[in-house]
Amino acid sequence: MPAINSHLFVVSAVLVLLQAGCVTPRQISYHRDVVPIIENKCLPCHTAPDGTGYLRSQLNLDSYELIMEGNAYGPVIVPGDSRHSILNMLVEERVDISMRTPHPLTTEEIETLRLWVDQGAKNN
Amino acid sequence: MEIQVIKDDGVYHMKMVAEVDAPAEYVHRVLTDYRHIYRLNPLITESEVLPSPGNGAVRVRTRIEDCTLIFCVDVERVEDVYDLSSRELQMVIVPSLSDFLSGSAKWIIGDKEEYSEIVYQAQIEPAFNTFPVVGSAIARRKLRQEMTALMARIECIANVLEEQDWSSLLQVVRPSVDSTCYKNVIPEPANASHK
Repeated sequence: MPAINSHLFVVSAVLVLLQAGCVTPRQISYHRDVVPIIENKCLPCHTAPDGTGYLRSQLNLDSYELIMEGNAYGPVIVPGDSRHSILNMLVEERVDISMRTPHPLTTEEIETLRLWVDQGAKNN
Repeated sequence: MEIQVIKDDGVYHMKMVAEVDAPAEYVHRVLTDYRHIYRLNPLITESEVLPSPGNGAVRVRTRIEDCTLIFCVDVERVEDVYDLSSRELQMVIVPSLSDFLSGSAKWIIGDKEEYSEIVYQAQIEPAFNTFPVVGSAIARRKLRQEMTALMARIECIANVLEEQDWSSLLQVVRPSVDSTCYKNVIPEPANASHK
């Protein structure tokens, strides 16, 4: 019985390693992948001084630094943790959203933002 | 701030008395802004206001994910909130919709003119094993940390709301992000290989 267990352990370990190697998520670039989404879908409203989204939430998404600063209530991004990032919660509609979205994000765009934050929300 | 946390027969009893440097009216506004409840607790990953069960209650669902060492919890909580007066809130967990066997909490907001005194009392009985190996000491410490962070956020957001009201009243420019409660540490730019 111990021999079977050790074989099972080795086989399981190999399978886990193979799986880990096969599902590497695509690497997200802020400038290449994220900026176009923000420019097309967010900036029409979230720009100072008079964008409607900015006036409602004081969230200005006009630059990487401003995105990382968040709004008056605190940061909207937790680098490396999209589950606890308010920006991701809002676009994934995991929380009640008060923003009107004239330009809804596609599933792929939402996923890109999730991967970007999970990969550290880098300015790359 | 005084916080007492004891565990008795699977039930956590908490009592906290804290002074918050913000007017009671604004503290009450922050606590009853249910749609933005996720601003108060950094562990929240989901929240929503559900249809009211009646009796003047507001039903609020929150989901919390947290890890300590290797132990992670992913907890669903639905509670009915009763705004008893301008200074008192009562919350009752709905066990059938939550990962809790029972639970209730009361917030009392004392108006001290210069500041607010918050008294929070709660009893919660998790339906999950909090930290099976390291015991309840870590759970108690986590609860203390969470309550301390919660008070800091309530104070900060209450002050932001008050500042916004004054800005609006005086018709001056809205507060900028300089008045942000707390800021992110911006990560270092990635090296060239990431571009």
